[in-house]
Amino acid sequence: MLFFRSEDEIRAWCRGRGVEPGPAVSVEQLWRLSVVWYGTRLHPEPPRRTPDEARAIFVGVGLTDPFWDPVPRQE
Amino acid sequence: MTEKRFGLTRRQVLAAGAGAAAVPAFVGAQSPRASLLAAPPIPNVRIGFVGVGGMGTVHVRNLLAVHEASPGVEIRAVCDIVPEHAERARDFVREAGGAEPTLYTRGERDYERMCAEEELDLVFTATPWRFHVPVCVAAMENGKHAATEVPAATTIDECWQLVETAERTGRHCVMMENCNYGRWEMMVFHLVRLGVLGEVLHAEGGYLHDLRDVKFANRGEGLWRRAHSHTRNANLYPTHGLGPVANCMDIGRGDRFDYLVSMSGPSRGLQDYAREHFPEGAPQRAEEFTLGDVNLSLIKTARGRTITVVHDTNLPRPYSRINLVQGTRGIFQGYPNRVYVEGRSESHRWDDAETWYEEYAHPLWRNVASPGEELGHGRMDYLEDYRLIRCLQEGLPTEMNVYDAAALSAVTDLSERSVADRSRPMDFPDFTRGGWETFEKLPVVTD
Repeated sequence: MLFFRSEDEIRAWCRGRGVEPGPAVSVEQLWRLSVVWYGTRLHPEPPRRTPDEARAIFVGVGLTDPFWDPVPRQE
Repeated sequence: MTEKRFGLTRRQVLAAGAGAAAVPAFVGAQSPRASLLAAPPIPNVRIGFVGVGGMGTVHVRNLLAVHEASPGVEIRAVCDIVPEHAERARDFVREAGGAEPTLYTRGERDYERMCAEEELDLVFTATPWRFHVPVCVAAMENGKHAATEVPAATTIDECWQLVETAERTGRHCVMMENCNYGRWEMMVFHLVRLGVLGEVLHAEGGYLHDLRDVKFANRGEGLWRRAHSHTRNANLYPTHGLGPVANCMDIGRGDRFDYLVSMSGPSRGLQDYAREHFPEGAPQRAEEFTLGDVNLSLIKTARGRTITVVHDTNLPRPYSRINLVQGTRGIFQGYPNRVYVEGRSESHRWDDAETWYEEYAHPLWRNVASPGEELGHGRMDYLEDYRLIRCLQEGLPTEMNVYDAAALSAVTDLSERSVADRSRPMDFPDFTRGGWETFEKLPVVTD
């Protein structure tokens, strides 16, 4: 996991090294995701989310790339 | 597309977030393969060297010269089964003003101790072939990048071992193919990049080198190299001829080796040499050889192009690597070096390549001064070491990666199997697992 100031910097960094860019997550998305995703971690028995529940959380913060699909399709 | 497409899984990202809470930044998830192709920069490259005989010593002296021209190389450890060789390398380091390297001379597996104990960035091996893979693997398993003399491996299993170890550890495994940095090879690459030869459709390379005296010497490579000719009928040494033309054809970066057919002729040269150079009753005269004196292999690429590669080391002949690259607009052929480009050359006649050099010399050959011809095969060995260090220092993808090393080295095993089975076609494994379609083409570097 690497940290960049902007998506332009991600593209420039990858271009210079001949590598594919990975999925980018903004600060705001990361914050919103973490509030929801980790919000139950202090429960004595945190509920395990179903794939549909997880997908709804990701979509809710704008993470729609297949990388975030909880039931990945095989290549 | 799977959740693993970008290397880190979704679960790994979320698990990392659980520990780090909200991380205020953009996040670009990078695959192990991407980190393998471009590792973080290393301003001062700390090197452990394994095998400092002939070529190993050349590399040590080159690396010291690279440091002298542009500080940032440190040879911290030297390993060799011959203590005098290790001491000689140590003396070179000392004479160059470096700190005395630790020597590892407790037998043929002492590189394992070196890899485990030393703080190094790179382990460089120039040992007999059978140690290349074990040394590289030991290096990578201990968190070091690896560089190896050619061939990187001698079997398909060994090729996969390098690839899988490099991917798992995220470390470079570079095969040091010096001929990729040859004056003419680089000019041809430059011609191809400029489009002068048109679309490249065919190439020929080889290693045609009378090695009879080397194979029968009682020192250096003579101690081990001849043994491969006893047992294997194949192209034993494919990378010098194949490496440069593979770069011109973007192998591993837009195309890949698909399959190979191979055949060998009779084995005569080494038996004749032994009979003519050793007295009656000498054990060398009783040796039997499997290696056909001339081995010819044909490679078809995934994009439908063709390459021939020749191995010819047992017969009296002048040296050649062939070095032929043919495109839709023209052709370059080495030994002697000549060019023909439609519309520029006289119809149906070769130009002496020297008349093209001034205009089309590769920028690296123009711009990078070499400390001297004596440091191994003209300047190409120096440029090879220089570029390895530059890439490591700057965190750039190395110009030969582990997938290249595997694909080029695989020719030996595949040609052996094809020869043994009436030239049956043998498929190359796709060591990149599809990456060849998207890996970026090699650039024309300038310094």
